[in-house]
Amino acid sequence: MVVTVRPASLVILLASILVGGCRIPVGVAGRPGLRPRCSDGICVEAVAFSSNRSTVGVWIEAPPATRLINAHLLADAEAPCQGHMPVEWVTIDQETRRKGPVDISGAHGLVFGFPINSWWAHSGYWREMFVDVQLDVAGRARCLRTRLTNAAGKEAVGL
Amino acid sequence: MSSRSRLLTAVLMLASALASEAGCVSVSYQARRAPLGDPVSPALRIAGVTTGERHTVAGEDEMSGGGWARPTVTQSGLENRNRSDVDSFERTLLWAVRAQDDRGTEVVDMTWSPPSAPRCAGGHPALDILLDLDAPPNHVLAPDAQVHWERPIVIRGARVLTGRFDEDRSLLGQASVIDVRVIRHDGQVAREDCVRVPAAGPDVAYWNTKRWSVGGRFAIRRGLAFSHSSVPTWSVSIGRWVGPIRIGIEGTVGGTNSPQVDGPTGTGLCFITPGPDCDKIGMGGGAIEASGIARRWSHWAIGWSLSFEALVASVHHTPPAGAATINRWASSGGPRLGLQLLRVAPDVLGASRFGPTSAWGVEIFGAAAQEWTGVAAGSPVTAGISLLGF
Repeated sequence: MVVTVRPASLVILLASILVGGCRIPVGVAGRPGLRPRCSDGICVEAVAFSSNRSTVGVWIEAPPATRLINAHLLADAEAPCQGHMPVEWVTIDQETRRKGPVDISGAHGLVFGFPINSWWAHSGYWREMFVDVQLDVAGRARCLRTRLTNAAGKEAVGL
Repeated sequence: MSSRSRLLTAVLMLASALASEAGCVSVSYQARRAPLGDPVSPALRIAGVTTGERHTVAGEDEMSGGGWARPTVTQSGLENRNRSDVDSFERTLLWAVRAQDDRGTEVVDMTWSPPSAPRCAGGHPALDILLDLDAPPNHVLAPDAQVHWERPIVIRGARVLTGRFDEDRSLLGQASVIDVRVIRHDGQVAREDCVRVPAAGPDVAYWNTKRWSVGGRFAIRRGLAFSHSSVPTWSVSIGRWVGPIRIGIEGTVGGTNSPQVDGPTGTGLCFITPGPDCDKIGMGGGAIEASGIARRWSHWAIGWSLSFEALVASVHHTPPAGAATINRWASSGGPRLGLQLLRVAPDVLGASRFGPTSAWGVEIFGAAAQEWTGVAAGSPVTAGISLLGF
């Protein structure tokens, strides 16, 4: 991870702590099938997430010829699949991959590793958090967004 | 020396060591001279290298309650496998390659290897490839260079491409190359090529980009301008490298305990066991110091320091024959010159031997001082020995 600490970041961090205070970490840890979101034959479900960890666990069911292109952690509804935290590694079932694309046709458990955790989400700095999954389905680009927290900074997986 | 002084000494020496070690954790070098890769198009050349980067092991994550594990998702939900209390970090290094290509190039992979390795087929493959942002980050907390998990990575214009590699200290000290596997598009034709970029060797020169440093020093002085007693001192400093010279300011405290009648005679051991010939001293002061590396080898160096220091002290002098103790304040100032034998952080091949560095070692110094206030009751010229780190 290459993170350059810039003065603006520190000022915002301190200000957010002073204004919002530190909050208890939020997150979910469930089983696939409780909150699936399906679109055009692809179901994506965030099954594990904690705001003080740098990983997001996702269950995905995809049609044949589906490739995982990328994933992003993002805040406050940034542009689709252009979030400011691109994925650094992906564990597909039990195999960790440091580069892609990777075929994920069928049903798979994915763990996305991001550069930093979403601690900021419960510092009061970030409120709405999402994870975008960027796919190529038989040559067609898809970007599927799943909500992690709502505008109040509370768990709102899949809503 | 009292147990309190010993404890303070240990703490400050440890702080010195840590300050030095901190410099070893991650060191960045900027290329000052680097040839173009072969072939020359796309134009690739080394921009710099960062050694000793600590990076979380891919696939592992820190648990909320402490420790590390390898999370996976199954039909039962999240499973944290291989739990461990050992911090999960890998030591890596980052080779940065500056690219200039207006036509657009797709980068597929990077490899770090000795020049004797076949192109794009030997040495260390990149663990990750990072790319600088082509616009201001869309968030103030976003990294300035981001891992690009997907391949190929499309670069257009002037960009900096960074490969993360396993830290191979042996290879770091030899000539080496970065092979960049690219795909060029000429019309409808895609052509794969391997660009070999010299990373370390006779044609590549580096400069350590370290700017600020924190240092520490434990010294024993043979005497002071206002007392013949030998005195231990503890110092911390903060410095900034200006070219090959570290300019720093240093704060110092020191002193001796009350003399013991049954202690050793003379003033040479006042810093350990003050005898009847010693003064009780409490002192503090500061210095402005310039220092640098005079000559350097791979792990050792000869350093120098030149400073001007000012000291203020409370001196309690007990004359012989049981006369009443004389208490007085004194201050002095003057130059100090030191010669250092240093253990230095290892460099990448081609790094300037005079550049900024992190180091720790021993210094022999001489100091001349003029007493500004008080009664000149010491030595105008003294010497001492220091353990130091910066």
